[in-house]
Formats: sequence, structure tokens, C-alpha cells
Amino acid sequence: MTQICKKGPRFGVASRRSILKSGAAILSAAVLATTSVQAQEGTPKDGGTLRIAQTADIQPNNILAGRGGNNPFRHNVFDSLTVLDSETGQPRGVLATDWSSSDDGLTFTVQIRDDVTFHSGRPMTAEDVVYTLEQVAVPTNSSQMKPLVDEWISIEATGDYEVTITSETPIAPRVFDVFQLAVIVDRETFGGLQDGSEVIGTGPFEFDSWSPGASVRMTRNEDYWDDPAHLEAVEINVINDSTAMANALRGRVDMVLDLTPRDQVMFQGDPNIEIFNSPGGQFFPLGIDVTAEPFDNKALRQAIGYAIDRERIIDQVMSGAGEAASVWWRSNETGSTDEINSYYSYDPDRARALIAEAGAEGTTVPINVIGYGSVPAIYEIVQNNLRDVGLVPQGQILETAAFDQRQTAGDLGASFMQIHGLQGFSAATLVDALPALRTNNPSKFDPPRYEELKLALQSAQGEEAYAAALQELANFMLDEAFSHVLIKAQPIGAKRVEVQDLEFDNTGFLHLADTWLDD
Amino acid sequence: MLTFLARRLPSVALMLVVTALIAFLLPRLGGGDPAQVVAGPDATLAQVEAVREQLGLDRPVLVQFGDWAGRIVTGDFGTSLISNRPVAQLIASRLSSTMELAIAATLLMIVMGLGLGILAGSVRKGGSRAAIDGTLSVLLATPPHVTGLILILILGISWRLLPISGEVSVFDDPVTGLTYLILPAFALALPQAAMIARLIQARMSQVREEDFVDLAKAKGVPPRRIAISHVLRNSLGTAVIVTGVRVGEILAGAVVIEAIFARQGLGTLAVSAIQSRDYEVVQIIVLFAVVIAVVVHFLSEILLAALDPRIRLDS
Repeated sequence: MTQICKKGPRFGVASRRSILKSGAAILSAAVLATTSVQAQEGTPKDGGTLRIAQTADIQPNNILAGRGGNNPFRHNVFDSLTVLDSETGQPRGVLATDWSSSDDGLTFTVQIRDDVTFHSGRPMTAEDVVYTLEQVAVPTNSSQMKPLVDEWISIEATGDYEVTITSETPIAPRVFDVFQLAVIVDRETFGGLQDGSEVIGTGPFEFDSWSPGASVRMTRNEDYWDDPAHLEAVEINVINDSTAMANALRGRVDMVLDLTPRDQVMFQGDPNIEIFNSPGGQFFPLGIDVTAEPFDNKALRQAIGYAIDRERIIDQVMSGAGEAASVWWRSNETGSTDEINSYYSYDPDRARALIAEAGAEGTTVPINVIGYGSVPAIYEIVQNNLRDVGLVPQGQILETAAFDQRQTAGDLGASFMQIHGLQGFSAATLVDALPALRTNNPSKFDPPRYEELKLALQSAQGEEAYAAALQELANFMLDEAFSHVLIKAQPIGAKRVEVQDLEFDNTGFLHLADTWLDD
Repeated sequence: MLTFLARRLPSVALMLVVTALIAFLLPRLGGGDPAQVVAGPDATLAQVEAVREQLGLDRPVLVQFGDWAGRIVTGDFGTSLISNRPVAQLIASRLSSTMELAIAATLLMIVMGLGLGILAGSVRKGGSRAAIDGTLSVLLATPPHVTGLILILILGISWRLLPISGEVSVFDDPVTGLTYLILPAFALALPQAAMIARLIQARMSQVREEDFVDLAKAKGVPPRRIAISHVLRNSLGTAVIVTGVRVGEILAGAVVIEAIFARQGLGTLAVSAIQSRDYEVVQIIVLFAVVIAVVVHFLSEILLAALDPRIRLDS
């Protein structure tokens, strides 16, 4: 057996207190410069209710799927086996104490804690872990990790506190993405998640009440297997209008999540408010159908990549809160290099030359744009850039629900501007989970070489092999230019200065066990 | 009066049946798919199909309508496709918020509308009249959400006199509840009050030209009594019927005002249900809104009929 990761200083599980610090970065109220969250000097105080506002409601019925509204809720009521560290991107144990993989990577064994109880009082065992992982594969649970779990042959409890997974393809490292999202659910009350009538986890907070679309309340779990949380309770208020949500920070709540770049401006210069970036966030890709003429010409697709001024998008649309990027995964991914991350930089002359090479001067570029968040504003710059290099963009803004429907059907036209979450998961997982990259993607990009390189990455064992496979896949994808990542945007939040020790993991899920109020 | 009511009831019933049909079909004609919303934007086609089957949306539309209409008749308003909670429970949890706002705004509208209308209809001198006309024009032309944002900026952020986000029920804490109601109710009521004031002003000018007013003057009735007993009394019928219509406008305006002031009322529920294609919730809210509007309109007709015998006789 090859040990992938054992309990030790780096991956220790003795206390969650050490695992997630530095996940968030504070932006000063005036300048969007990131620094680590600094804990207030002195002893954390127990008590108080943290009041949070966000634009999306929680979705208990989709607890096993990635949903923005669940991010501040999921990992506080529930625990996962492991979490992905926000700095290294590597897994760290929570309910899992140890894990190992066979030499061929086809068998994976994980040991879990033996001192954990659900909020109902029932002890958690390996059977609950097996049940949870099996639920990931159920289509109606809508997990983005379903394609990975579908590859597994068996998930078995090989002891009271040991689970063994077997597969025909290597299980690690993608299994940690499954663990990150698949919080352990109580198999006896799983049905209660459908309407939120029974939300039973093992986390530091117990689910108290939920008024759909309005508010959620969680209270401290006094019998938590680790140290109990400092906060007595957490309230999440749902305020759909982003500006109204930002205004709630003026007395109604202590923290707001997912601020728009425009709304965070209202707190500049306010000494009582801190603006912060957290990990996770969104990709803004521009996809191209490689089978639609004249976009079946690679030179034209590459030209579009060079034509777009990503820095201008960040400055003018995101108020500086974004990262110019060419690839679909976080820059801390093993094997990421600056060369790959900035493969396409703004070069209109090169774009014009490539267009000339493709004989595509004056080509009409029909673009379907999702009418969500900042995407329509980004389109304004994209169309201006494309006109500059001699193309004729024709954009159509589609309402989100209609766009998503067409995206799932793989029918978005010759080119399209999407928005994707799941930042922080590994590249090996994203190539199967992101609609822009997976099989049956709307770019209709599915050559055998692409499948071969994806499989090589997913099978790579060890950091060196993984890095080499990632670079080869990334270079191929970037050269084929079927999906241009324009920018990545980290979530922006704002909080009262009295809120201390916020913790986010690599995918932007909020962990509040260590958070306290300095009131 | 009974004949009058009996003649109105069939048209009210027909309107409700037609509304039910429209409420059912309209959300389905707007594009999008609740199964897609539940499954999420990253879902595969197979996942979306599985969710659609689970929600019963794979059945023919006629079957779905028959099922829904049958349940409505028995008092079962269905279950939200998104939260899986009973629709009646969702609406009940939001109803008091919207009703508090609507009642406060309606009272303000009536008080301000009558006050401004009588003032505008009584003042006939050049400068004062121009000032009142100008004020009414500005209030009429300013939509509630703009008024709301201005009130937030001045009274909430700059002067910090009143809360700008959230709500406290007036039944739980009357004083605090009122402080949360003042700004949104003002924002909602101002344009409607201006509309009522304009109508009263115009009607008062009309009535002043009537023969019976000249007769009263000739008989030496004091001007104050002419203004109140003759002019005003004969001008209020318009205000009564218009107030009924305006209540509908207030309920419609509450959608935007609730969003701006982050109140968790029916308007906010409606917006999120429409965005997430939660057909079951949208259908009942549309039906509910129409029932409220019809009932208010019906009541105002009864009131008008009571005030004006000609209407009863015409019927």
C-alpha cells in the first residue's frame, strides 16, 4: 500500500482549530489588497449570535451538491471526512483520521473517528459514510461529484470505523473533492432534508429553524466531538437584492457575503467595516463551438483569446476584485505555472494576424450571454475588443434559467459566455464536472486526445506525475482554444470589525467553529 | 343593494376562473425549467430528467392543470418545487409582513391623498396653486423605488433616524415595528396619494361649476359650508373608487419596495419564486393577488353604491 496521506503535522486532525486558518483575506476598506485574516489579540470570547446576510437561500435538499447558498451553512451543521486547505489545496482530516491507497490506486481505505455523534444523539459509523457516498451517485441529489462516484465499483464498510472504496480507475486524488462536498448525513433522517424538516449532521452547530427564502438559525452543538464553537448561535438572513443586502450591514447584520464589486464601494473609508476576499468564487469563460463554421478554424478561436483585454474587465467591471486567467482551476493547483495561467494575454495585433491567417476578417460572432451577475457587463468589453480586431460580435442576453437549460442540453450556439463555480476543486475533477469542459460540453469539443489526457491526469499518482499530466492537458486545451477563461473572481464579503477568526476552505465554504464576536 | 351584489358576483367568479388558468399557464410560457433550477446549473441532462420525474413535471400540462385545479378546490395549495414546503405555509409566513406594509401605506395614501387633494382643490391663487401643482407632479412622476432610495439615503444613512433594512412585526413590538414601516410605507404611498389628490382637485373644480353650487351661493350659504357640504362631499365618490384601484397598485409596488428595504413579504417571495421557476408558488401568489384586488374593488363598488343612489338605481 502506498501511503498518500497520513495523520501528521501537516494533515493532522487533532483539532480543527489549526486546519483552516488563513482561508480568508481581508481587504482594507479603501484598497483591495489582500492580507491574511488576523485574529484579535486576546482570548476568544464565548457567546453571541453572528448575523449573516447573503443573496441566496440555503438548499437542504441539495446538501450533497455545490450550491452558493449552502456555503455558510453546510460545513457548520455537517462535517466532511476531509477539507481542502485554502493555502495548499491539499486535504486535511476532519472526520477522517487516516487514509491510504493501494499501489495501483484502485483501492482506497479511509479510517474515521470513533467518538462522533449526530445531533440526534446517534453515534456515527462507517455505515453512515457508505450511505452518504452512495447518495452522491443518486441523480436527484444533483451532486457535481456524481461522475466520479459512478466510476467506483464498490463502497463498503470494512469495519465499524473504516470504509473501503474500489474502482477500475485510480481513486485518489479526486476522492478528496468528493469528500469535500459530500458532508456526512444521517441515514435515518436523510429524507427530512427534502423540506428541511430534519437537518441532522455532526457539525459544531445544530440546525434550529428555517423560513425558506427568509432566514436560517443554527445553535451551538454543546456535545461536539471537538471543542464547542464560541458563538452561541448563527443567523443567516436571505436578502435577494444585492444592494439591500449590503445595506443590511448598517445595523441589521454583522457580515454580508457575495457583495458585488459595485456595492463594496459603499463601505470604503468606514473604520467599522472590513471588506474581505475569500477562496472559491467564479470563473467567467467564453466558449466556442468547434464544429460551427468558421469557428472550426483553430486560429480564429485563438485570435479571440488574444483579442480580449482581461485586465480591463477586472478594472472596469470587477473594481479590481478579480484575477486574469487562462485556465479553469485555482493557481495553487499542483502543476500550475505562470506560463499556463497567463497563456492568453491581451495582444490585438496577434489576434488580427491570426484572423487574417484564418481568412475570417469581418466574421460575425454570435454570442449567447447568461444574464447573470457581471456577465452582461463583461460582454460589453468583449464585444468592444472583438470589434477592435475586425470581428462583428452579435450578443444575445439570455435569462439565467433559459441559459442553464440550453447549457445542459449542450445547445448554446456558436459562442457563449458562461459563469461557473466550483473554484478550489482539483483540475482532475473539474474536467468532468464543469459544463464547459465535461463530455457533451456545449463547445462540442471531444477529440480522443482530450479524453486520453484527461484520463492521464485523473490516473496520475504522486505530485510529480500529476503536475506533468496537468501541464500537458492544459497546453492542449489552451492550444485548442475551445473555452477561454476570461477572469476568475473571488467572493467579496464585508464584516463588522468585531467579527473575529473567520475561516474559509479552498472552495470557499465557511467554517464558523472558531469565529467569535469581540463585542 | 342585494340585486346590485347579485349582478356583480358572476363576473367576479368568472374572473377568478380565468385568472386560475392564466396563473397556471403564464409561468410555463416564460421559458426556463424548475427541474433545471433544482438540479443546478452544472447538472447533466440525466440529472435534470431525474428531477423532472421526481417533481411530476414530465406529465402532460393538461394533467398537471387538472391535478392543480382539483387540489385548489379542496383547499390544498400544493408544495413548493424548490423548498418542498407547503405553499400555504410559505404564504402564511410572509403574509403579515406584506399586510402590515400595505395597510400602513394605504392609510398614509388616504390621509395624504385627501389632505393634498382638498388643499389643491381649495387653493385657487396663482403662486400657491402652482407650488401645489408642482409638488403633485413631482410626486406623481417619481416611482416608489426612487423615493425609497432617496429616503434611505437621507433618513437612513445620512441622518440615521430610521432603520433601512429588515422588519419587526408591529404585533411583537409596536413602536419598533412602526419605525421599520415608516420609510417603506411612505415610499409606497406618495405617488398613489398624489394620484388621489389630483383626482380630488379636478373633481372639486368640476363640482364648483355645477348649478347647485351657484344656487347655494345665491342663497347666501357661507363659503366654508359650500366647500365642505356641497363641493367636497360631491367630489369624494371619485376618491373612494380610485382608492380601491390604488390598493392594487400598492400591492404591486410592494414587490419592489420589499426588495429595497429587505423585507420578507409576499413580494420578495414572488420574485424569488419567479426567478427559480417555482410554479406552485407563483400560481398561488398570482391567484391570491387577483382575489385581493377583486375583493378590494368589489368592496369599493359597494361603498360607492352606498354613497351614490344613482349607482344602485342604474344596477
